[in-house]
Amino acid sequence: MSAPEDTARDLRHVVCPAEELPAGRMRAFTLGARRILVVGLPGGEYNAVADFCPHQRGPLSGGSLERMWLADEANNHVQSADRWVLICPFHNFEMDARTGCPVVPIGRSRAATYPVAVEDGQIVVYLRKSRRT
Amino acid sequence: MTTLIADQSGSPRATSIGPLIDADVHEMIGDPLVFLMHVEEPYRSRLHQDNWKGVSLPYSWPTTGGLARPDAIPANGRRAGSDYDLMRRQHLDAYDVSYAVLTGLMYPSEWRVQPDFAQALARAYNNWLVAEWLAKDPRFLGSVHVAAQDPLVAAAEIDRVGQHPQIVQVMLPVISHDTLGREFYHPVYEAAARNGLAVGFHTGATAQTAAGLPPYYIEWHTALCQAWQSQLISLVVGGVFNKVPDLRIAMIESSWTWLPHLMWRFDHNYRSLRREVPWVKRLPSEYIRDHVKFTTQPMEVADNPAHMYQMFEMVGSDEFLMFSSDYPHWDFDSPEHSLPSSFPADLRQKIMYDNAASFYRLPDRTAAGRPGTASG
Repeated sequence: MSAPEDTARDLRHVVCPAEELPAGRMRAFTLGARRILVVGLPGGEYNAVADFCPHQRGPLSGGSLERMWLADEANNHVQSADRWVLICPFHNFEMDARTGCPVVPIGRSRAATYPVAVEDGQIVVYLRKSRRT
Repeated sequence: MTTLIADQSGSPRATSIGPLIDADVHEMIGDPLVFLMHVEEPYRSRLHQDNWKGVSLPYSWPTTGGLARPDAIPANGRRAGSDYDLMRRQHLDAYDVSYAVLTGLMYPSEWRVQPDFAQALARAYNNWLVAEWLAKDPRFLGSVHVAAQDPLVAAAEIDRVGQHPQIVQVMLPVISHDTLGREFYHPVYEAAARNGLAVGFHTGATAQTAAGLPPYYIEWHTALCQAWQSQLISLVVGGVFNKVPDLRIAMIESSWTWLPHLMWRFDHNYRSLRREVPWVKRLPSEYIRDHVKFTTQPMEVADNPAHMYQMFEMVGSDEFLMFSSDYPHWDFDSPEHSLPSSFPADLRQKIMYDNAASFYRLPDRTAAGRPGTASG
C-alpha cells in the first residue's frame, strides 16, 4: 500500500495488487483516518465499504464474506448466485457487500461505500477528501 | 348504544357496551351419553368410567368453582358451559352478544397416544358441536376440532365440516411437546385456508411452562403465555405464512401485553440469524401484524391504566385485538369492564366488535348493518 495521491476531488489510495484479493476474500486497510474493507467478488469485481457495521460499529472485517443464503421453501437452503453479504462479528447482522445496506433494514443506516477500481493490476480506493481524511 | 338487558336473576340493567363479539366462549359436554351418540365404534365402547379417563390438567384449582365460575354451574350439577339455556340467559342475552365463538376445551391434537382414537373423538366432537350447539342459536360460531398429529386426517376433517355456515376456525392447542409451525403440520393450515377458516390456538390440558409443570397453579397460570409464544415463533419460522398467504391465526387467552417484547426480540434475532431460516422473507413482526390476532382475556391490570394503552400502541396495529370473556371460566372478563379505562371510545368499538367481525368475515349484525336501519 502506497501513500495516497491527492487528486482534485479524492484521495487515491493504491491498496494492494488485485491478485492478492481473489473472489470471496476481503481485507481491511487503514486509509488516512478511515478503516476501509475491500471485498473481492467473482468476475474481477471489487467493492469498498466502511469497516464498521451500522448497528453497533462492529468491525466487518472480523466477520465473514459469503454468498447470501436463500430459500423458496422451508428446509431448503441455497446460496445466491450473485448476492454477497458481509456478516458482522458482533451480532451476525448481514450487510450487502456491494451497497453496504443491511439485508434486514436497521432504520435507514448502512455502511458507507467508496469508489474502487483496478488500475495497472492494483486495487485503488478513492476517498472523497474531507477534514477526516 | 345503551340497552336494557336482563342479568342472571332476570332483573333488567343498563349496559353501554355496544355491539359485541365474544371470541372465546367454552361450550362443554354435559350429558356424556348425548356426546357418546356421536362417537363411532369401536371407540364408543371404550368410553366408560373405568376405561378412558380423558386428559386433564394435574393441578387442583384454588378457586371458588374449580375451572369455572360457580354461578355458571347449571342446576343439574353438570359442567359449567354445558347448559345452553343458562349460557344464553347468563351471557349471550345478558350482554347482548352478537356472535360467540365457541372454542371448546377438548383438543385431541394434544393427546400423545392412540391417534386413531383422537381422530374419532375429534369427528364426534364436531358432529356433537353442530347438533347440540350451532343448531340452537345463530349467534354461535363453531371451531373444528382435529387430531393434528396426523395432519392429513385432520385436513380431511376440516374439509368435511369446514363449510358449515357457522364454522369459522380450526382449534389447535398450545402443546408443549412439539411446535405446530413445522412443515409437517402445514396441511392443517392449508385446509383451514381453503375452507375460509381461521386457526385458533388455546391452551388445553397438557401445556407447560418453560420450566415444565411448576409446583403451584399460580406459577403455571402466570408463565403459560410461554406456550403461545413458542407456537407463534414456530408459525413464522416454519414458513407457513409464505405457503398459505391467506392464513389467519387467533391467539386465544394467551394475553397480549408480551407481544411488543416478542416482536422486538424476534426481529432482532432475525437480523442476526436469518441465514438459518432464509425461507422467512420478511420481518417476523410483519407476519405477526398481518396474520395474527389476539384476544383480550385475561386482561391484565396496570397500576397506571395509561401504560396499558402504551403497550397497545407498541404493537403497531389497532386491529390485532378482539374481545373475549372466556365464559364460563373462573377468570371470566366482563364485557363491561374488561378494557382499560385508557382505551379511547373508537378503539373500544374495534376491539369489542369490528376486529373480530373482519377477522372471522362475519355478516354485519350491528344496528347499522340490520335491514331497514338507517345509517349515518
